[in-house]
Amino acid sequence: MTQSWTGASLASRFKHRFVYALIFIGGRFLAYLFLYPLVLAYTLSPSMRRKSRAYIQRRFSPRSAWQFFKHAYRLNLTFARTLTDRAALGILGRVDIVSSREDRALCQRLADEHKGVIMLSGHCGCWQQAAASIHFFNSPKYIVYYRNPKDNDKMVHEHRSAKAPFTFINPAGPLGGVVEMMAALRHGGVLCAMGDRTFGAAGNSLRARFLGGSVALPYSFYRLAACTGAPVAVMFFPWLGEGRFGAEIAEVFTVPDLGPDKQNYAPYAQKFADALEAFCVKYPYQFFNYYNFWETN
Amino acid sequence: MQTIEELKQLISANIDLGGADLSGFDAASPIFGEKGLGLDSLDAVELIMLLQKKYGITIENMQQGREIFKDLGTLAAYVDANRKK
Repeated sequence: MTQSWTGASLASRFKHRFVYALIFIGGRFLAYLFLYPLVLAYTLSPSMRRKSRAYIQRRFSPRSAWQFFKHAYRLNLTFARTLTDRAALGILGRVDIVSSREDRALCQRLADEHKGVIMLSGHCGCWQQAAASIHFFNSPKYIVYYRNPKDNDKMVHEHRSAKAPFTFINPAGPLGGVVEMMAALRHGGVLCAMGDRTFGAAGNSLRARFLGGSVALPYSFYRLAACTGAPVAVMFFPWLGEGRFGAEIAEVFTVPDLGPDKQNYAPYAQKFADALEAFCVKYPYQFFNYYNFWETN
Repeated sequence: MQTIEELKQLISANIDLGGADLSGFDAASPIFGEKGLGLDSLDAVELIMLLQKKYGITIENMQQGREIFKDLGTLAAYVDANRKK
């Protein structure tokens, strides 16, 4: 198995509900105030620091325990703010999405080709809001998503008891959800998936270089792209401040059919890893894979 | 029977089975999992594309897929009933 993540929430259901109540009563600002002591308490916890240690060591090379602590605190605070903004979007319905005209036009061009689009993102920035909020893709959206029963974060639409604006495809379902994924692309849909999370057996992953080490990335999306002709758009959604996030296209590429040997697709996984690394350089406190991403097993 | 043989040939020629010999498999052999041909979810991508290219068959959802991909016999029956090429 290459899967070392869990998908469980870091905070309890009670704390999530408490923040939701603060947003409801005093808006985003009141909730942000509460985050400072909460995140400090979390960052003081050794188990919490352990979860972010691998990234902080590689990204910042801290020279003292104090420096490490400061980086961990900033990382956790940014993560807490993105979660607060996601809740605020669901509860208050307000968020600003910043994107360039070129990126929006490119998204529309890709959708207009009617081959479907594989939109790969990562666990960084505000990926949670992205799927619910980007409207440049004028096509039905499908999200490859495994929800851990211990995931306490409500999705944007769940705050309003509304219907999800997209269709979920469960990678833990029969045949890893590939039947649904292929059908979605055949109908010209946008298939949103996480390019930094492997799921299932080790055979489903490729190794790529990332921040000076080797990481396992999922392989299936590149094979899907090769088989269906759907272009791959690597998109990230940086948090830009209170209630604002960006939608940036980092890479767009097509994958030729190189046969079933997965190693043939390693250069495409590397393209994703390079784009993710560039994101981490630009937004150092917005990489939220809270486990040892570099662990080999 | 003829379609089953055709499918076995199609699978062994296009999907990496790690050198496995399909001659001993029959209509009741499961397609996915260790007890049958041993195909996995990534092989499903290949198989779905092969069915589309060779027979013009598309599979729309997992409900349908689960019935079609149960074993070689169900797949062959579906191909016979729905092939466009």
